[in-house]
Parts: sequence; C-alpha cells; structure tokens
Amino acid sequence: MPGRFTAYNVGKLGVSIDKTEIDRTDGELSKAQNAIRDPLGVDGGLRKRPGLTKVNASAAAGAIQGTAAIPLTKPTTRKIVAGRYVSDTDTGWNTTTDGFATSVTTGGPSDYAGSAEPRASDKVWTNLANASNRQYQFVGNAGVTYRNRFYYAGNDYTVGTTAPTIHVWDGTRDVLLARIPNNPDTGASQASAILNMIAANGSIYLTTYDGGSYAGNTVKARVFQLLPETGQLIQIGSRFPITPETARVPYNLIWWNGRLWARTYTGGVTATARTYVIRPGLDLDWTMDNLTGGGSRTTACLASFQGELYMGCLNGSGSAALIEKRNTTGTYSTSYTTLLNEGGSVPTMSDFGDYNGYGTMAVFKDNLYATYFNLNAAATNRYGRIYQYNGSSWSVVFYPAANAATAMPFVTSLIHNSTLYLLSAPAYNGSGTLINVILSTTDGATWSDVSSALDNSSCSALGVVTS
Amino acid sequence: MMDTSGTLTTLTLPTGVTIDPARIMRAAIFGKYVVLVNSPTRPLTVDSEGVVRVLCPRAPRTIITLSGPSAGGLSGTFLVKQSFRILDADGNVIAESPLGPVSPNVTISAKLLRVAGLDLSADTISGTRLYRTITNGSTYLPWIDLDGNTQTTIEDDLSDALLTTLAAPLLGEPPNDLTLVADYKARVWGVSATEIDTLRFTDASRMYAWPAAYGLIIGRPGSDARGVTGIIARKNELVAGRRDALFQIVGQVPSDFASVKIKDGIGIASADSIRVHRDVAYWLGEDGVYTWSDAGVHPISDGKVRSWFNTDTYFNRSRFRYAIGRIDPLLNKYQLLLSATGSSTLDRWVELDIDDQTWWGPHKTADFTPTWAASILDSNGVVVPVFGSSTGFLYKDQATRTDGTATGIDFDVDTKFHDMNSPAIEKHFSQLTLLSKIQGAGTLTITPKVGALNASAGTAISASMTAGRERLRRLGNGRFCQLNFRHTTAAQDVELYGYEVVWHELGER
Repeated sequence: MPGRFTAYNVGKLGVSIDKTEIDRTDGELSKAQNAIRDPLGVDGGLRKRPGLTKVNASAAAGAIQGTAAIPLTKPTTRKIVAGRYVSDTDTGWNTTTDGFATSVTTGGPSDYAGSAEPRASDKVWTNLANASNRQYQFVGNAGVTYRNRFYYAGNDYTVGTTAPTIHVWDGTRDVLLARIPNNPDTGASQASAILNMIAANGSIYLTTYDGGSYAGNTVKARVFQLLPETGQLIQIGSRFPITPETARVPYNLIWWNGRLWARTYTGGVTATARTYVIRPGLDLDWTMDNLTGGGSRTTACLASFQGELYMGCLNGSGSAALIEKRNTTGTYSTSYTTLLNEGGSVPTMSDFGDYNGYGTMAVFKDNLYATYFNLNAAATNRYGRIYQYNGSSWSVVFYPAANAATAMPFVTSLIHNSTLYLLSAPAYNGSGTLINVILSTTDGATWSDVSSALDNSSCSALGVVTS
Repeated sequence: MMDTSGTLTTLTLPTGVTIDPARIMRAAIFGKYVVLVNSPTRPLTVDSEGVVRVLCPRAPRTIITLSGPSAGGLSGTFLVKQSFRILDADGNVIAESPLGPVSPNVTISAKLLRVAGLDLSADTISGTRLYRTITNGSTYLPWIDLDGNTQTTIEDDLSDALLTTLAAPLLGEPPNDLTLVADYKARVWGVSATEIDTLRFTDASRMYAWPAAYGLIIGRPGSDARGVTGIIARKNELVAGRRDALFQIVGQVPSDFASVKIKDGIGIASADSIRVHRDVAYWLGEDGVYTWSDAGVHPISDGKVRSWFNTDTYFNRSRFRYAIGRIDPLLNKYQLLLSATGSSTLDRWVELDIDDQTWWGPHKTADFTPTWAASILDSNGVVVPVFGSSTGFLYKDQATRTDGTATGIDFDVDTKFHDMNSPAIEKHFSQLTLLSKIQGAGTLTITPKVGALNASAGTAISASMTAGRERLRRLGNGRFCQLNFRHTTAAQDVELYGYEVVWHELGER
C-alpha cells in the first residue's frame, strides 16, 4: 500500500523517550540537541537555538558561582549640580556628569523658567550677616541630596514679603515642595531665609531666619523637619531664642548620637555660642547642652567623627579660630587651635582677620576634613587651608599661596562617587574679589581645582540628581 | 558587581570575610538589599552602590560598667545593655547586633548615668545603641545612640519619662554558615550547615534579626546527611524540602509556625534548581522535574523524558544536587543545567517549554563551560537570561547562531523511527522532501537509518538551507526509518518546517 508520510509537527512535540518507538507520535523527537521550538514568530518550526555571547567585556575573577539581581538598579547617570548665581536675572545651575572633569553645562530643570534656582546668598547676607563682606561662611547650606533628589531653598520669594520656598529637583522636573510658615511675630511678614539644611534620620532638617538683627542680638529662628516624600513641614521644638536665653538662635544642625543638635550664632563672631539638642518626636523642646560648661565662638560647621561632635568655629580679628569638640560625656574641649605658622611649606599668615575660621567639615575615608579661610585684617591677603584629622593629630593637607585662586572660604561639601567635593562661598552680594571654586579629592592628599569651566558665580548648593 | 551595561566592579568584602570559590553563592532579595550566603564565610548584604556589609554585626562581648560620678538629673537603679548598629546614609537601620551582656546594676541619685567599658566592634559599624531599664525595671528601652566605633564611655541623665516606651527589638545573630536562603513574607528564611534539619527565620521586616528561638525542625532530624535541601517560596506558601519529602510551613506568626509534611517520596535534589515563574515553582527532584502550583505538586518530566533523570544514560545523577535552574521569561522556558554522564561539570542543559510542556535538549556548547544560570536586567530594565561560565563571563542569547565569536552550535536532532503504522511490514522509503525556512547560506546533513530499530546509519544526505523546499534521494528499504538532522557551521541558522517521505509496502516477511 503506497503512501506519503508527512511530518510538519517536528517543531511542536519535543523530545519523547519514555515511550517505545512504535508508540511515539510522528513529530516527537528522540533527541533535540541545540534545537528548540521557537515561538517568536515562527511557531511550529524546529530551529537551532540562539547563540550565546558574552555580557561582560572583561572576565570576573574566577568562575561565576551565582548571581543576584540587586533590586534598586544603580542609576546610569548621576549629575552633580551646583547652584549658580551671577545676578538676580542670571541664575540657575551648573551641572556635570563627570565630576567637573571635562565640561560643565548651565541650565536646570526642563521647565526651568527662572523660578527653579537656589536662593541667592544675598538673601542671607543682606538681612542676616551684618552687611560685612567678611562673613562668607554665613551663606549657609542651601540644599541637600536625599535619595537622588536635590532638595534646596528656592530663590523665588521676596524677603519679608513672600515665604521662602523649598524645591525638589529629580534631575528632570522641579517641584515647589513647601513654603516656610509666616514669621509668628508679625503675622503677615514672612521669614527671611532658610539657612542650613541637612538630611538625616530619614528626614530633612532645616534652620530658618525669621527676622531681627544679628549684631543686635534680636534674631528669631526656627528649626523645621521636612518630610521629603510629602513635603510636610513640622516645627521642631520652640522658636528660638528659648528662655532663659534671650538672643542665641541656631544656625547649623547635625544628627549626632541619635539626636538633633543645633549650634547657635548671633551677638557677633566672638559671642559665646550654645549647643541645643532634641529628639524629634520624643522631646517636647530643645535642651541646652552647654549652659554651665564649655561654649565657644560662633560655629559655621559641625561634624560627627569617631563618635564625637566637632565644631568648626570662627573668631574675631587677632584671634585664632578653633575647632572644638564635645565628647560623649558632655565635656567640651578644643581639638585644634589654628596657627599662623603651621610649619613646613604651609604659607604663614600675617595675622588673623575678623571672621577667620572654618567653613565646612566632612568625614571622608576615615578622616575628618575642615576648610579654613582667613582674610587678614588689612584685607590684603586671603589664606585658605584644608585641615585633616585622623583621630589623633591635625595636619594641613591643602595650602595654596596667599591670594591664590583656591584660597577661598569653602562652605559646602559633597561626597559622590568616592570623591570629596568642596564648594566655595560665592562673592558677597554677587560682587567682590571672590570667585567660585570647586575642589575635589579622591584620597585626601591630592586636591584638584575642577572649577575651570564654571561661570564664576555660584550659590552654596551642591548635590547629586539622577537623570 | 556588574552594572546593567556589563561593566564589572570589584567589591570590597568586610574585614575577615572571604569567598569560597568552590561554593555556589545563594541569595535572597530583601527590600533594597541582597542577602548573600553559602560562598561567603559570613552572611553578607550588598546594596545597589556595591557596598558589602555583614548581615549582622557580632554582638558586644564585654560587660559594661555603670556609675554616677557627675551631677545630673537621674535617680534610681538601672541596667544597661549595648548593641552594634549599621545605618545607611539616611540613618535607616541596615543591621543591629544582638544585645551584649547585661551590666551589673547601679543605683544613683541626682546624677548622670555613666557607662564605661563599652565594647568596640570588630565589624565595620555605624555606631552603638545603648538600652537601659527604667528604675528597677527589667525591660530594656532605647536610651542613647553613640556614633562611630571608638568611644567607650558616655553619660546622660535622660529621665525615665522621656525614654521611648518601645522595648528593644527581637535580635539575634544569623547562623554563620547559612547555606540556603529565601525571602518570604517579609522574613528571611535559611538553613545552616550546622543545623541542617532546622529552618531558621528572622523577625518580621528585619533581615538581620535571627532570634535563636525562631526555627522549625523539618522532617526527621538526622535521617540523612543532607537535611533540608531546598526552600520554595510562592506567593502565599512556603515549602522546605528534604531529598525525599516536602514540608509546608503553616501559620501566620512565629508562635504558631509549624511544618506539615505534604509529600512523601517527592523531594528536592537541588536547591539551585528551584525557580518560581508566574507563581509556579519548578525544581529537580531525584527522579525528575516537578512543579508546585495551586493545583498541587506534579512531576512534569514523567511520560516524556523521565529516562533523562532515572537512568545513567544521559546525565551524571550523582551531581543532581548541583543542578541549576533558570527561567527564560522571553521564550517562557524552564532550563536546567546538568552534568553529562561521566562529567563533573555542568556541561549540558535541558529545557521545558512551559507553553506546551515539551522538552528539548540536551543542549551543549563548545565555547565555554557553564557554571551558573539566572536572569539579569539590562540597561533598559529588560530581563536577560544568562549563563555564568568557568572563565568569569556571563553569556546571553544572541540572534546569530554562534556561541561566543566563532564557535558553531551543534544542531543534532533525531526523529523517531517512523513505521507508517505498520511496524511489522517491510517498506520502501522513497524520496525525502525537506521544507525549511530559506536561509542565506548553509547545508544541513541528513543521516537516515533505514531497517530495524537497530539499523545502522546510512549515507549522509546534504540539503541546502537556501532552497526552502528540496527533494532528496530515496532512503531505502526497511520496517523503520529514522532521520538525523545535523548542522554545526557557525553563524548559520536552521529552521525546519517538516518533511515528507513517499513510501510503499514491500510485504510482510
């Protein structure tokens, strides 16, 4: 009996070896090495399997013995952003994706229209800093990075008329997140500025300047907690000054040993500063930590290092600035006293000018770094230094010549991609002799000025966004 | 660590931790961290920045000293304990060690309570947390957080009233030699090499807290040398398997967790073969591949390829415990790396087409020796199935039918022995007609076997892959006819739509 046998199902039935040859269905295979049913547009065909090609160009060290997909994919592009301020009509951002190594672009959020920019330094200086062009360190830290978003004090308000704003920029979109509540003294009058912002404890904390005179000891101020996800603002403790104090209000903040600490200013650079502490959500109000012991000069920066609280202080003309610390049993002491002559190749300073002192501190690769600036009394020489503390001794690791381009008051720090960046304070009122500088280091020993492409003016806002 | 673009970064291990290159690394994803066990000498976590940390710092070891030398506002009798903590940049707790030994109590009056002799951790930690009791109390409440790992003394007079009322959490160190790990219902579950019959688990939502009492005996302790061989976690069910039985974990909270045997005689041969896809678990048992779904546990290799798994013809069954499974979500397949008979490497793989439950393979490649199989995400967030190799590379599919850059793929297919429904009758198998997808180039070798079921291979036939349809020579006389299709040239594809054979009976002899 003649016939024609057809098998057009060879790509559908796969391997079947448990039945006898006689019992098997035509189309079932005895072996299908490197053959597959390819359902992607060719269903029914018996096809050679796809080839295999390397994913990684360079080999891992040894055999691949397991993989695990980390659920939060590392963003492929992170952009460092530095606030930019030339004038009220020339503002925005400097941005870079390579650590300022080759290029900087200006611009901002995609819907940037002049409103999404960090607050200008003169909003702080004009109203707070006694109109002294020596008070560079009082520019504050106007922005923080929190989970790849940059939260910053906005510039879209008028001092005394409208409320200071807080924006969040995710690298693409800028959103007005919150406004500082009115100054309770005057009702309709607004707070003047956001001074400092820190990210800690799953929140952002910030200090405000509500009004009053710095030199006259009449400043009022508050501390707020900002919930980053919702934009909710929660006042932390009473408004400053808190009885029995009548003048001192907080400038900068730090989260240390499970509590929020604030360090005061006002009364002039040589006035004794106080330290306040609170546990947000638990304590009803701030507790003064050093009413009877310790206390020192106005403090521009704080850092937690090896379990102790370090305070970078300022001092008046003719007096050396100190770095103080509080240990875990509440004792305040001087960790370091600045010397005019630090020895070695460090340029010797002629004298200590008014407001000489430390602008920012950062813990980087197990060392504490503190930036120092001194404009001598005659205002003829600028000196800048970066000090390093390894837990036992202080040393100077960066010391440009007097009046060098990098002899600047650095006031903001950022650690990104195993690199420490330091941003200098902008020129007072957008003018003066200072220019904007960003220093970077990967090891704490070699420092690079990576600001050559900057456009000569920036605010004290430095962060990282994803885009 | 490899980023989504395939760029490798060497991670830094915590001090004192090494990787055993001979062991498979096993992982569980918990929140934004990956918990790694088995190959590290201590359980580890890795975050998206590539920071590697110990899963849990070792607990403080020394007894701390309490005193009240300074004036303050605290009065009463107190006890204090210490823990070590690891925090992220935002202050969230990544890990906290168990509490250290209790201090001898101290009674003070209007003093600061001073703690001295704090232990310093040998691990990299963010700080220490101190817990204390209220006066004459026994519950430890969070008291002070101490940053860093250098301070051994602190004092404070925070009143009892201002202590948080939330007691110290349940804590515990994970077994140092965890070999299995899984994530289920906000807990990490694992089995150690020391307690092979016990399924340990963490406190809820805290991957680092392994209370000593949180463990379930699975099956009969000591009944075999392997103990628990795998953990399967589906949407709302958890199973721990031994080599010959499956146990479901029931209960909602630790106090009523229990293991209930659900299958006897069906177990898990390889922990690394377990993969869950669309809420169906697939794994290799000792006699075949099984699935577990809402419909229950079923063997899916029986009736088709059971012989692959219960004979020594195809695979080295003594190495089933090292088999590794993979889901290819693009082609909807479960793939299983195995060792060929006589081999001690994972040099073969078979695959189940989940859509139509057909089996394919055994496959192989001459370009590299697979050591691992999994899926990763590419830079666009698309899932990419990959093989790991002994040379340190991951391999993914490519459309070009070449392995690596130049290695051809050995396409080798045997049909059944066709008998035209008359296996007892001698037949003449005339011309073979092959229909295939038209390729740009290539020649397929067809080797017929015509005769009885033990017929020898006949003269090979060459078929062009550029023709689409090709009529080939007569095959010969016999009761059966089997065809072998083979193609090994690199960068050439083969796709067969089918074939026809004209035949007629010669008669029954």
